[in-house]
Amino acid sequence: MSAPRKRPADHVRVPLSSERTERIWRRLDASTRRPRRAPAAAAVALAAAALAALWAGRGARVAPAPAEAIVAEAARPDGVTLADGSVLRPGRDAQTTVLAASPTDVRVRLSRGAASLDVVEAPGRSFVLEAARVEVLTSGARLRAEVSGEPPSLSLAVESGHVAVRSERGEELASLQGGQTWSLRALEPVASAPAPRPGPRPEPRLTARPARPGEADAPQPAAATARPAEARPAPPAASSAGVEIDPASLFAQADRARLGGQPGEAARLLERLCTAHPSDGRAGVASFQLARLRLHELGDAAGAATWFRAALSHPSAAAYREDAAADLVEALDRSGQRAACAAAREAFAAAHPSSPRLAAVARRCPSP
Amino acid sequence: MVGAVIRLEARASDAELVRQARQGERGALEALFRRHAGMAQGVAFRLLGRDSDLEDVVHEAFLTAFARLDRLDQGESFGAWLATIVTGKAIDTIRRRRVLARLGLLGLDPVPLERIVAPHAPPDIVAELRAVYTLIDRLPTAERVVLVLRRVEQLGLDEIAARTGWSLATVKRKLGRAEQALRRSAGEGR
Repeated sequence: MSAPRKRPADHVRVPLSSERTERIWRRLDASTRRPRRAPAAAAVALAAAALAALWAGRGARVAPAPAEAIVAEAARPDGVTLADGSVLRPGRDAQTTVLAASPTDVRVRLSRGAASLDVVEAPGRSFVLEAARVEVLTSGARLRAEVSGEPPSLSLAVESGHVAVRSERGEELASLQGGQTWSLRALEPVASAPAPRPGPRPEPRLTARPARPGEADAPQPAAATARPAEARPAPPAASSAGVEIDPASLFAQADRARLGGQPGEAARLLERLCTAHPSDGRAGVASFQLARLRLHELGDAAGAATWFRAALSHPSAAAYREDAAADLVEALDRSGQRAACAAAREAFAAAHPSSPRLAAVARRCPSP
Repeated sequence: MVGAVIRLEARASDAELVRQARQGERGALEALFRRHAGMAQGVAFRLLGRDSDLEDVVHEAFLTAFARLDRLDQGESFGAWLATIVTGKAIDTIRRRRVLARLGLLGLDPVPLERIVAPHAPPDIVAELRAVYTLIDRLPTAERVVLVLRRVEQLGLDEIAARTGWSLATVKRKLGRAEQALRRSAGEGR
């Protein structure tokens, strides 16, 4: 008896490898462990952080840590190796708090003084340095940060890797590559109101001066690294905060957030792209993606409908029109806008009579 | 003489792992992932036709599956359910790629046929796979997907409808068009 004939699928060489499978698992593990952002959760995290490993200055001890905040090694002569393998080296008078340190989530606060960080590349791991009311995020970089003065100023020197800086409100302030320095002076307290604020703005300064080897270990006054804004890899538009934003970077960050199981963060970044760069080639796709996130991940059907309409009115809509129009019907149906839903449904049927989604669309918002 | 009988612990079924995962057992999630990761990567790769985006599709599919485990009625059908989710994510990715390519934001290289087809595949299968993968980038997304599911995965029409969530009539219509394009493409190649 002959063996059953194999399917063509069995003759396709799928690039399987244990490394790839492990990589996917690590990302997945990190994504499924990451707590959802919620006010209550944030408060609990903050309370836990207050009890977390707390130490100040060189040679400081590590206090008993909460379950997730474990500093792997504090015995290095010049700093500590965190649980994800990153190394934190505080300057002489630095005040540094390790708020969380697990293989998937590291958060360090620099309240005063200078510190250098060797952040290892780790897919799926979230690494955040809090300093002077901004967040410095990286997936792998070598950098030096210094906080000085009152109100606090921040200066950053990135020796290698990539670093993003964002405000407490989540606005992206800078995107830095190796060799760039950046500083932020006279930061005013950031209001929680969503509307743009009048009055004093942060004064970010970016230079392309290469960070010198060893500079990270030699604390300097903030003003010493502040230079007039010069070259930046790609000239982006100005944001509402008067700070440059790169749409490609926003798009890529949104993708990473979405794939990392952070739909809220992804939506925030996409919305930023759409509003700050409406004429950028990515804005249409970004509106479409944002609408789908609101509909399928964030439970905001009404908001989704608004963004689907924005996507459909974008000059690049031809590329995704059919899907956006079908999704708009679903969003209107789910948000209870029956008349608008029925109109969108009929418009879809007329415009896309052979769409594979027609049957599903036709079932939406039936007449009572 | 009768030897001692050793009772071996049966491997936990998908249904059991799903039950444990719903109760928050992380080990069960990992077991489900490791058991089905190969299948998921295979389904995604054959639909995408490329290595790029494969990890993202598989990651997203498992993420979605784990987040919606409570919606799975029968735990033992986790594999089939996951394949449906992988297919949906792959379709989203193909659509997204096409959009980006049309906007000039993404360059699509031809499907690497030499690397896709296994070296010892029978000649008729090689010809079949070459024909399908040469064509797919020129087809609309739905036609491309049903063609791969039919010709490569060899799913029945009902199974394709279940896998994609499209109606049987739609699947038939899309497959008809894709087959027509395949015949035309084969004619051009002669």
